[in-house]
Amino acid sequence: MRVAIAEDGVLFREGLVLLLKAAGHEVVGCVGDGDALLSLVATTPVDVAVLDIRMPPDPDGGLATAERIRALRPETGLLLLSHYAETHYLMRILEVGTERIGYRLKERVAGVQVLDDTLTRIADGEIVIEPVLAKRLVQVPGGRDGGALSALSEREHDVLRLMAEGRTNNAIAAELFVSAKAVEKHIASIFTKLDLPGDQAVHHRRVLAVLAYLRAQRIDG
Amino acid sequence: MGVIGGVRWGGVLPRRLRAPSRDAADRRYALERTLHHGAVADVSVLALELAMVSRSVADPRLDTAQTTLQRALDDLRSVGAAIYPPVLAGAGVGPALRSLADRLGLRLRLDLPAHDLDGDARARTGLLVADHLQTLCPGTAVHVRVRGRRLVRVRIIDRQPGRPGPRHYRAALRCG
Repeated sequence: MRVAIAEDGVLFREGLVLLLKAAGHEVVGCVGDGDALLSLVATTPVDVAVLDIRMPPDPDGGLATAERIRALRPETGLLLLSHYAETHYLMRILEVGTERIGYRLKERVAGVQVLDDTLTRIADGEIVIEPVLAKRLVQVPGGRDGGALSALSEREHDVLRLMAEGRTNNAIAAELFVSAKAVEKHIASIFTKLDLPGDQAVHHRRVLAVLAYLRAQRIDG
Repeated sequence: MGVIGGVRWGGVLPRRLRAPSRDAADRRYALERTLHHGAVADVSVLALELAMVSRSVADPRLDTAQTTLQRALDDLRSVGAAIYPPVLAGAGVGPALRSLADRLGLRLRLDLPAHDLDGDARARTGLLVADHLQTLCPGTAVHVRVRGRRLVRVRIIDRQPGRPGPRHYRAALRCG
């Protein structure tokens, strides 16, 4: 896979290059800010661009750069990295796109296998969401009635968390050691219990519906 | 005092919250940046280096070390976010407080002015409310109302699970 990197931390950038090469990917460019990445993507074929969220030109320059790359080269996948798992960043990323896009914590992709898996999923058109963030959204805050979320079984809760990570039915089945058919049943039950609209068959719409629901549970106004 | 936006703000004498000064807000921002570019960045690089070492050395202690590093980063993140919410400088009071409420498991209702607060008011108001949110336990319902431009008035009502009655707070910040 042809990968380009924009990260203002020199040591992290160099470490990421080594890890990507170790995973068998071709690093076609490695720059320190969003504008340089945009110039690179404009002239060089890139399968996935890896961007730091908090880098120049703005405080959150990675987000603005991701928007510009998506407009210029919609076929290029985007992996946004941050030291922080913030729902605000997630919502902004979902505004940039809901396919071929990912948001992960920097240290959580520090591993050949997890980095490779993340990039492959993005290149395949999936949306990849930091599991830490998905888990937080799915958790019912202590001491309060979780409403419809409390009505979910433990297994349905697991399926909901993996859906919020952007996992496909097959990936959820593999993670939970159940059949894809069983996952489909759980998802249908979740959508009924949460009264979620939308077409469950369209993967990215399903992820969006789940995330919008989970967010709305926490924000009242 | 009375009913504003469907919320009863009166009834009890609100406690006063003290907003950080402009200097304190600036210092907190600089401190978070130092932590972000220093310790957090260094530990993240260490995580990458450990991953590279794991490629050539099969030792279960490396997995333990990786887990320890992740835990250290989680702690550093919590400290950094408490010093200065990461979203506040880039996106403003609303997104910063909503993200914080998500992280803390709070049910937040925000009533913000239609206009954007300027840099000073934004930072000090955001920090004032964020500091209060940090004191609440998960599941707490919080209503925050902000008004004004140069003289910013903040009112907060929180209702913590298992505790009787709501608590009322207010603050006024002279900004600009």
